[in-house]
Parts: sequence; C-alpha cells; structure tokens
Amino acid sequence: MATATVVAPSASDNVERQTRFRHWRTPLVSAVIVVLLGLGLLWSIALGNVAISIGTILAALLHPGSSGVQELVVRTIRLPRALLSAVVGANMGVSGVLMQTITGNPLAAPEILGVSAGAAVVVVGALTFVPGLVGAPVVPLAFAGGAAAGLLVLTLAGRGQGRVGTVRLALAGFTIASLLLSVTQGLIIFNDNDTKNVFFWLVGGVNFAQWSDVTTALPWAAAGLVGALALARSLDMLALGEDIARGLGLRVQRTRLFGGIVIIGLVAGSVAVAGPITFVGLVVPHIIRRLVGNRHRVVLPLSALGGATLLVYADIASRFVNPPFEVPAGVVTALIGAPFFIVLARRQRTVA
Amino acid sequence: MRLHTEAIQLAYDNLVIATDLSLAIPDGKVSVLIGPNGCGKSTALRALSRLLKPRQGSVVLDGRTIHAYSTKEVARRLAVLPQVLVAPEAITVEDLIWFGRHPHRRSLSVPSSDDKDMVDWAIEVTGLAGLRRKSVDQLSGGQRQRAWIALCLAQGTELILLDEPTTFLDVAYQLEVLDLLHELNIEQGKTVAMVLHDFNMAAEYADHIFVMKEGSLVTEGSPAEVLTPALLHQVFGIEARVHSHPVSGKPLCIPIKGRARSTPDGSATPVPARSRAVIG
Amino acid sequence: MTSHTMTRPVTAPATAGRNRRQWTVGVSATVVAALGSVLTIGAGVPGVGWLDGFTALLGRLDPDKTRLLEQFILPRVLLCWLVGIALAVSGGVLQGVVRNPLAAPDIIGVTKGAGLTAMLTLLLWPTAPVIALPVAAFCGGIGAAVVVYLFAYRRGASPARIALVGIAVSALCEGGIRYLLVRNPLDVNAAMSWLTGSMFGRTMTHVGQFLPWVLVLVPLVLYYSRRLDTLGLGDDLAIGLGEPAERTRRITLLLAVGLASAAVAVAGTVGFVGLIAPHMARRLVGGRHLALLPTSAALGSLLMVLADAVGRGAVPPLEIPVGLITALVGGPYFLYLLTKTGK
Repeated sequence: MATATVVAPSASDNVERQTRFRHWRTPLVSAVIVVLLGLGLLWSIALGNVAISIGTILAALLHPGSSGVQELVVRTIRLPRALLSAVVGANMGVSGVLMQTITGNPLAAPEILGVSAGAAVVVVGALTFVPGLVGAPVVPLAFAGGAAAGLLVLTLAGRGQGRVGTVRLALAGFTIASLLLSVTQGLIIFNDNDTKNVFFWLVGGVNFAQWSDVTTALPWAAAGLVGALALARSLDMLALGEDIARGLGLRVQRTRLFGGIVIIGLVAGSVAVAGPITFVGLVVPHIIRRLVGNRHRVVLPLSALGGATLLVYADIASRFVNPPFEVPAGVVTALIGAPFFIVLARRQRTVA
Repeated sequence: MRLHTEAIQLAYDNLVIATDLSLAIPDGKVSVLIGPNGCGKSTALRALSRLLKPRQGSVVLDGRTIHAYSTKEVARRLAVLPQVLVAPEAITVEDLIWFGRHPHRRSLSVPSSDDKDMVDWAIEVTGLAGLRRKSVDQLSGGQRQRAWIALCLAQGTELILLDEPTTFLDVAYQLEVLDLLHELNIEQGKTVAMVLHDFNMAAEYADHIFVMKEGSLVTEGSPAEVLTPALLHQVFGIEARVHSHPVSGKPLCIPIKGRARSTPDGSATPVPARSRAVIG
Repeated sequence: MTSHTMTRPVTAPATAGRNRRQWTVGVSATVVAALGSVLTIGAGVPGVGWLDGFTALLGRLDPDKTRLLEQFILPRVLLCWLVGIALAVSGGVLQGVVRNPLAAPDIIGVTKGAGLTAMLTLLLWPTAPVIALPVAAFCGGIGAAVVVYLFAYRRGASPARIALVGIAVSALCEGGIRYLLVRNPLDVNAAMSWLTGSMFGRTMTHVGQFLPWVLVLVPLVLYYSRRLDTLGLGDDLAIGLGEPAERTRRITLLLAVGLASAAVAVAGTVGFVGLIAPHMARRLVGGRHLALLPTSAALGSLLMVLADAVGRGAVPPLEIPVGLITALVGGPYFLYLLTKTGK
C-alpha cells in the first residue's frame, strides 16, 4: 500500500530529456548556487542597525585591524550570524535528502521527526530545574533530547515495514511533537523567570549567534556531509526500492541505521545552536533533485549548498518583515515551507 | 436494454482515457470487458456505474441519464464492486453484507424483515452460511471475494458490475468466484458485467465480450465471434492459435512464445567481455 | 425485484447479543464517569474529601463548602463533561472520515488555527471583552479546517491528503503563534495556560455558552452514523451503495470541526482526548459509529474529569493545566498504539 515514489517522475524525465545538457547542467547549477550564497552572505553581513558597506566588510575580513567599530561588529556579530545560518541550513538540506531516501517518502523531513520538540523539552526542563543554566552544557542536552525524540518517532513509525508510510510517519511525528510541546508549555508556566532563554528553544533563529555556536555546529556539519557522501551509492540503490536494492547486494538495514545516525547528528547539532528551523530539509532536496537529477553524490553536496543559501536568505528576510523587530528565521522558513509541503501533498498519488 | 452508454468521452483531469465509446450491456447475460493494460476498460466500468462522470455523452440507466438519479436511487438499481476493497477492521461476514442494505434504509432506522430476508438470502446463495459470524480477515481469498459479492447481492439489484473480481486470486479461487457469478446469472437472472484481464476466462464465462483498445471499442459479440487470431494480434499484439475448449467448446487462445515483439535483426546482444569473465 | 429462493430466515441472535454488550459497555462507561466526577469533585479544594461529593448531593455538607463547590468546581466538572464529549465525538468522526486510527481533531488544523486567532486576541487586543476569546478561537478553528479541506480537495478530498495538508497548515499556524509569543513575551503565562488547555476560572457562563453546541451537533453526528460506516468501505463502494461520499465527508467533517472548535474555544487546546477516547471505545464496542460515538463520549468525559481533578489536586495551590495531564496520559497511549498498528 505504501508505495510512494521518492522522485517525482517528471524530475527524472526532465533529466533524461536533457541528457545533452547534462554535462554542463550540474556545474552550472552549482555555480549559480555558490554565487547566490556568496552574495547572500555579504548582504547578511551588510544588513543591520548600522548599515555596513561591502568595501568595509571586505576590508574587515581581509585586513583585520583596519576599520575600528564597524570591523568589530562584522567580526563578532554579523559574521558568526551569517556563517551559522549557512552551516545550519546546510545540515538541514543534507539531512532532508537522507530522510527522504531512507524512508522512501517524499514528504519526510527532519522536523517531522519531532527532533526540535525533543530538544526543546529537555532544555526547557533543564532550565526550569537548574536556573541560570547557560552556555556549553545546553548543547549536549539539546542534542540528547533531539536525538531521543527522532529515534523514537522513526523506530515507532517504521516498525516492521520497509518504507515508512507517508501519512503514518507524518501523523506519528506530529503527535509526538505536540505531546512534547504540551510538556514544554507546561514547564514554561511553572518557570517564568528565564523567559528569553526558554523562548529561543521554542522559536529558533540565528539572531544571537556567537562564534562558539559556529564552532559547535561546524564539526557536526562536516562529519555529517562526509558520512552522507560515503552513503551516496547505497542511497542511489535504495531509491530504486528496498527489494531491488537488496537484490543488488545492498545491506539495507545497515544503510538505514547508518543514515539514521547521520541524520540525527546533523539535525541535533543544528537544533542545539539554532533551535527549530523548519521545512528547509523538506524544500531543498526537492528543488535540487529537479535541477540535477537523482544521483546522490551530486544531490547531497548541492543540497548542502542550497540549504545554506535558503537559510541565509530566510535570515535576511526575517529582518525585513517587521523592522526593527526580527521575525525568527524559523518562522520565515515555515512560511515558505508549509505551502511547499501542501503542493507536494496534493501531488501524492498513493499514500497510506 | 437497461444500461448503455451513448458516445461517452472519459477523462481524468486532462488525461483523456476514452472517446466516443458506446457500450450496451445486454440484459440477463454475463458481459465481459477485455483489452490490454491501460485500454480504459476499468474506466468504462466506472462510468457505467456512475463512479466517473463522462465529460461528453451520457450513460443511460432505465431510459434516463444515470446522473439524473440520486446516487441512492442508482444503488437500488445497480450494484458495483470496485477492484480495491477495504474491509473495516475485524468486521464479521454478516455485518459486511448488511452494508448492502444501506441504499434501502433510512438513517437510524431499525432493519425491516425485508432487509433481514435479503441478507440471509445473499448469505445462502453465496454459500457463506457457515461463515457468517467469522471475521472477514480470517477468510480465504475466494471466500472473502464471495462475501463482497454477497454484499452486492444484498442490494437486491438485477445489474451487478464488477471490476476485475479475480485479481490477486489463485486459479482455484478465480473459478470459485466466476462459477458463483455464472450461477447467479443462470439461476437468479442477474445481469453481470465485469472487467477481466484473462481472455480465456472471459471466453469461458462470458455470453458477450467487449474488446477495447486505446479507449475505444474494437469489437463485440459472443466469444466465438470475437476471439480470433487476427483480433488477438491486433489488440494484444501477440501471435496465438485459437482452438476449441475440449470440455466447453468455447474458444481457447494459446499464445505462441517469442512472437510478441520481434527485434529488427533478431541477434542477441552480447555480454561485455569483462563481465562475462566474472559470470563464468 | 427481490427474487427470494429462501424460506423464512432465522433471525440472527448474535446481533442482539452484540447490541446488548454495546449497551452494557456504553452505560457502564457513563456510570463510571459520573461516579468519578462525584468522587473527585473535592480534589484541590481545602477541607473537602473523597466522599464529600456524595454528602453534598444529599444536601448534608456544610453550606459554606457546598457553596464553594457549586461556585468554583461544579462548572468545571460540567465543562469537562461537555468538552470531553465534544472532543471524543469529533475524534471518532475524524478517524472514520480520514480512515486512519491515528487521526485526531488536531490534525485538521482546528487546534492550531484556534490557537493562532486566540493568541492574536489575547496579545494584540488585551482589553477585549471576555466573550471575544472563544469567538475568535472558534472562528480560527473553523477557518483553518476549511483551508485544509480546500487545499486537500482535488477530485474529492482524499483522506490521506486531508491528513497531510492538515499537518502543514498546523505547522504554519504554529509558526504564527510562536512569532506572536516572541513579540509579546510579557503576556506569556496567560497565553501558555490557554495554549495548553485549562479549566481554570471557568464558570456557569462558559457552560451555558458551550452546551447548545453539544446538544445540537452531537445528535446530528449520530444521525449520520451509519452513513459514516459506509465511508469506511472506500469511496467507490460507498457511492456504489448509494452514499454520496464526498458530500457526506464534507458534512461530517464540518460537524466534527464545529464540535472541536467549540471545545477548544472554551477550554483552550486540550490535546489527545479526541485521539485516545474513540480508540479505546473502538476496542470495547467495535467500529460501528452508532455504538462507537456514545461510548467514546463517555470515555472522553471520564478522561477530562479525572485529568482536571489531578491537575487541581496534585500540587495545590498550584494548578497543572488539564491539557498537560491529558497529553501526559495520551502521549504514551499513542506510542503504544503506534507499535500496535504497525503492520
């Protein structure tokens, strides 16, 4: 019953039809994304209470110690923020690709797993019972909470069957996330002295990014991308269907397990520093697959770049919606992503 | 003739499945629609049973276009069994068959003795008397299909439409189901129209066969008239001999291997040298 | 046209036996819920014990305590009943319409939609009259559900699409709620307590506002119960049986959404009652809606009453919102359900 195809047929048709252009298609797409990302990063750094010119930014980055206060702003506030959004976005993009292929489910995405809700409940709980808890210990807590929730949803929804039914996974994730959200809200009611800290875990965003956040997230991102690339050929086979993959000699369960670990590492690493950022992992892989086809060794790095680009621009948009107030980037991505999800859901033919 | 279509065009969204299709279901007979995959036979059956509204033309039931009736009124005149069937969890055979009385009952009404009679009769005719309290999940494939047919019978209609009632069934169960439908036709005078994909089963059980290809009717008539080598080649793209069934005398089609599609030069594509070494 | 070949049939005794069992279960669930309400009425009220509920019923309780109970606790208990009935019936209908035992009123966007409009009212219009909040929440719930239905509609609204689009719309509303909370961090506690679902400070006025919804919508739902049964056979067969599937789905969905929105409007977003009450009922009396829905209503009431009592009595004088308790009970049950329904 649960036969949902991973790739929209039109995507692969599209690629086949344009075999002629295939050789320069991937480099072209990569180049465009890289340029967009670079411009986005510069824009993100330039934008803020004090507008900073591109020249100053370049000077601050290339020749440290030359332009005073503005350089300080760039180096300590703007740059970490821009970089953090790029790293977190990349994590989300890669984990989205892995999720969709491993579950055989085009609507799968990290937030469906309740990872952010899990991280939030553990951190808010810790803040409630250990007031004044800040900094370093929060990250591993968030990581543990997110990983636990993700594993729970994935194992329960996927029990005993190969491909995880779209609706089943979505309902399981949704319900567990709302359970965790209830608990989080309950905790907040009893703990009103640490509101700002707590809210970060509800809303998400990169507004308060520091260098330590970037250095926390970066190893996870790098390790995750390497791990995902190592799986690329296995993922190609898995995309054909579990039975065929097994027939081709793939150890399916092991691929799933390894992929699951990589996903949770990537997502928990991001949630720990940026809170819940929704829908990036859903949207980006679909766009990339449409552009360059379904070969994972291409899709994975491009989804990383694409995710980075999307979140950098979402963070920029968050400053435009209602200035001087900043809408959290997580809300912006939800605004983009939810309609996208609806379009995908409408396209589904066989879902169970 | 109680049910026929008048030059209907059938489409899902922008995808046109059939055009200018006129089918007349002969009363009191077993009719079978056959044709290759995607020829529109199931879609035609959906139109005949008002599950799909034609884009042009109309389906006529008892002298009026079928969409002029309320869907409940149609349900009192014809019963339809879709191909994919979902039984509610843990439902008993009898409860499942009771659904067949739905078009005859008002909301919240207490079942009448007529309703009870019809359900009992449907159970009896389909030979499910010993199984009426069993859960549908526990039945064999053939028994389960009989229970669904009993549901349609309980509707008390003369017309019964079925979409591939034998798919996913072992051959013994296929015969069990088709024998039942044959009996219903002979003994109860039911008009049966169904889609089958096995032309030999169609030849064996049908009084009248409609052959469809690419959304239009190629030919119709008795099995002996219709099932010829030329037609099998034209419609299914196969070479076949047609003999006479040793027992029933109905046509029996025997496909010949290797003639389905001929390659231009007929030569085999060699295995690449390196892989050959591995295989060896 | 009925060509009988049978002689006079034997009427099925099994049907009668099953009906009796369904009645027994339904009535006992109601009795247990009633007893539970009386026993726990004193929870969290200083100086009132387990049996004082009965004493009060007999008119033997100290008048001061009686007044206390009548004024503060009785409305909450009544409201718990009504909310439990509304959510449980709504959930029972939805699980039938969406053909998925994991569905609940939350998934068609009702809860989050109501939450969003309620937050808008609470945070942006603090001086609003008391009546504004439930009205806003009700409109938000209905509005979100209509949006879900429209987006899920494509040659009929397939149950799977309803579920998926519902989740997306909920996520969108959730984003809005979070945004509003960040913008107005000062009013967070009131907002949180509403968002979690709470019976705190509810009076007879609330009961009076909510009662008509239950009195009108629940009988209507029951009227549709056998038609809901046919939807369980899949659309094609349901239509074959003369049931206009899409229209029936639309009407019953609207009734369910009405019930859930009204409940959320008066009690805040109480989760999981609409998920687990119909489920337990299905295990007890089977899937026929005419039996399932009343039993589910009784179980929903029981759940609400007990959850509220625990919320009042667990850590007095603090009050745990009833929605948190139902989530804590319902969440594990849901997990258990997931492992059971896995193929």
